[in-house]
Amino acid sequence: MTSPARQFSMRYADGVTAVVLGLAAVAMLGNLPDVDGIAQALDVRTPAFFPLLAGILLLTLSALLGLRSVLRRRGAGIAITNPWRLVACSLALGLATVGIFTVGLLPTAFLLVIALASVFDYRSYRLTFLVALACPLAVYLLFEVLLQVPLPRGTWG
Amino acid sequence: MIEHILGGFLTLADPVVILVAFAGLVAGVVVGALPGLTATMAVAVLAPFTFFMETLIGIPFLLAAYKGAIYAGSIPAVLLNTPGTAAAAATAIDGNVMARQGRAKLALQISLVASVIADLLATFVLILVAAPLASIAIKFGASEFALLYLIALTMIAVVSGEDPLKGLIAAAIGVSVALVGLDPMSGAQRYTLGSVNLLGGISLIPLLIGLFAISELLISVEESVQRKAEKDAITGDDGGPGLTPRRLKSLMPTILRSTGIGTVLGALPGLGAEISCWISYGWAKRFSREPEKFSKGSEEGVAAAEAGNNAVCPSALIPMMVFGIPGDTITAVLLGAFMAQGLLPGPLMFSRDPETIYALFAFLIVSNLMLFGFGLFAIRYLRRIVLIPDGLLYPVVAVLCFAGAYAVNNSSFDILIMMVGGVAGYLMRKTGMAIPPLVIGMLLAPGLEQSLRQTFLLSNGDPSIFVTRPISLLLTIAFAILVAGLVISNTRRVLNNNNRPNQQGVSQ
Repeated sequence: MTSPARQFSMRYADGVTAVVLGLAAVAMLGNLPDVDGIAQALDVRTPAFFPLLAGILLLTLSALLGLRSVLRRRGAGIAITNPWRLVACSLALGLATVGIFTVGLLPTAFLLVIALASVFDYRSYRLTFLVALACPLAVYLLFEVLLQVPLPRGTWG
Repeated sequence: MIEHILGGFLTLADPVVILVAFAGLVAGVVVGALPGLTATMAVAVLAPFTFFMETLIGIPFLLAAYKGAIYAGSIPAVLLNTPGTAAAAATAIDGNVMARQGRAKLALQISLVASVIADLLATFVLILVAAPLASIAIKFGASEFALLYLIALTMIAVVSGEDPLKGLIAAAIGVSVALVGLDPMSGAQRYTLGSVNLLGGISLIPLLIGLFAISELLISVEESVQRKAEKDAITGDDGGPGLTPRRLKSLMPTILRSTGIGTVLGALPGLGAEISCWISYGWAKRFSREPEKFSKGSEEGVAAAEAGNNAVCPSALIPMMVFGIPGDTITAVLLGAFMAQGLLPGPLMFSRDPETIYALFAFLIVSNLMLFGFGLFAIRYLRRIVLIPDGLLYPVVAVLCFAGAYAVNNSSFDILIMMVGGVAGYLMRKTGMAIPPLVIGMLLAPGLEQSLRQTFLLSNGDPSIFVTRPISLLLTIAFAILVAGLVISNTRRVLNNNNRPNQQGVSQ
């Protein structure tokens, strides 16, 4: 499941990061809690005082990052080697999250071990199956029996 | 103090405490010995288990895991030339050459003994220094604490990773994430988006599991082909002579020097074992009678790197316990575990809860003996751990992450937090943004907010309070120097246009 690496420009990545964080900071400042305006937020007794400082700090630093990415002329890129493996792994983790909410943790754990082992290109199927069986069992014994913590059973459980 | 320590030993004289701590040590050693699984990840993934234990069982469990993981990072460094943790990077230079020369067993023994001696000595420093420092820190007012938090946060942001600006951004994100929940003064909701799940804020441990473990999984899935090749290259023959008392005596000056370096650096926020191992290694080479042997299988090189990184473990607890300021990510996770146990690290903890503090100090001594005993016995078997294939290892880690994240609060929402943390951690590592400042920003934000608001309430909004009190003035000057240095170095960096972006993300 290997595929050629994808290379992204660092300058571009920094610019995108700066824009995303800048927008987040603006959203933070635009939604200061329980105040009617920035002037009121300067009062230390209001819950908006610290968010105001944090928002201004984040906005300033994002602007600096954006400015630097514009000024930067060269630099190596971000390489994503094996993007399909990454997508497959993310998908397995995402489906596992859904699985935990629906069928519960233990069956999901069994499937997740098998799915991730194949994403990692592990070819000993018998060992994978044994680990896939042993892992949920160990988690059950550790959490439910030893620590007495109920594990998620999901809506179908 | 001696009475307190003896009392601590008595408190620990419970087979359950020792047994559970031993389990933590073994878990830490196993995780630390696996290339790719970091010490921070070990502590983050194991932290949820402690929430169901008593304080003096849970915290020793985590401390033992911490020590075990830092020590065990040297095992793959020696055997595979692949450090198990970033702190063992310098060990790999001479350790792996020794293994290739047929002296793997000796290298592992030197690593173990140097680690234990350094850790033990640094623990004594912690015990001697912490209480007097706490008695000074208790006199600090809100303004001093606000400045202390700002200095710590800025230092950590600047020295973590390769890019100070991105470090500061990560810290600002951490502070912003910590705003979610209820305002500590008025109880008003802040950025909860109307969700009941966010009223208590973002759960720290699930987020940490995501940031460190899930992001590591995503990074590893890309790199596993490369690592598979490295694992095939295992080498080393333990048939050579072991560590004799005479040999140990000749290494003692190096071990003691590196212990001193590690202890000092560990106590400073942001300068963790990853930096200490290199500085110790460099100094050992400089003062060695045989500097030409370095990087060619020098025993001093292994001893220096290992003593340097292990001495950091106890001394990193100094700022955490005395000021409530974690010096690195592992102590940040430990701080989270302390808080979950109802312990609030800081100067007051020494007067409120001395029994617990001294029991933990006593445990730090005991854990070294445990590590020494376990390490000596297990060296030959630990070699096999490094051969566990990624294809089996990471799926098991993923399952533990899901179970652990859920178990913290029995909340499915925490699994979502973990997943968001995982994606965020992956993106941060890919864009060269260090994760430690985010975590530490998140942890320090409540204290920083409280002290800032108290300061301005006391001074009626007058900022001159930061320069009118002597300690505040000193701290303000230190902060100003730090910020000025940061601005100058960053401006020079842009002007020179010589950025070297991190392709593989920042090693945690």
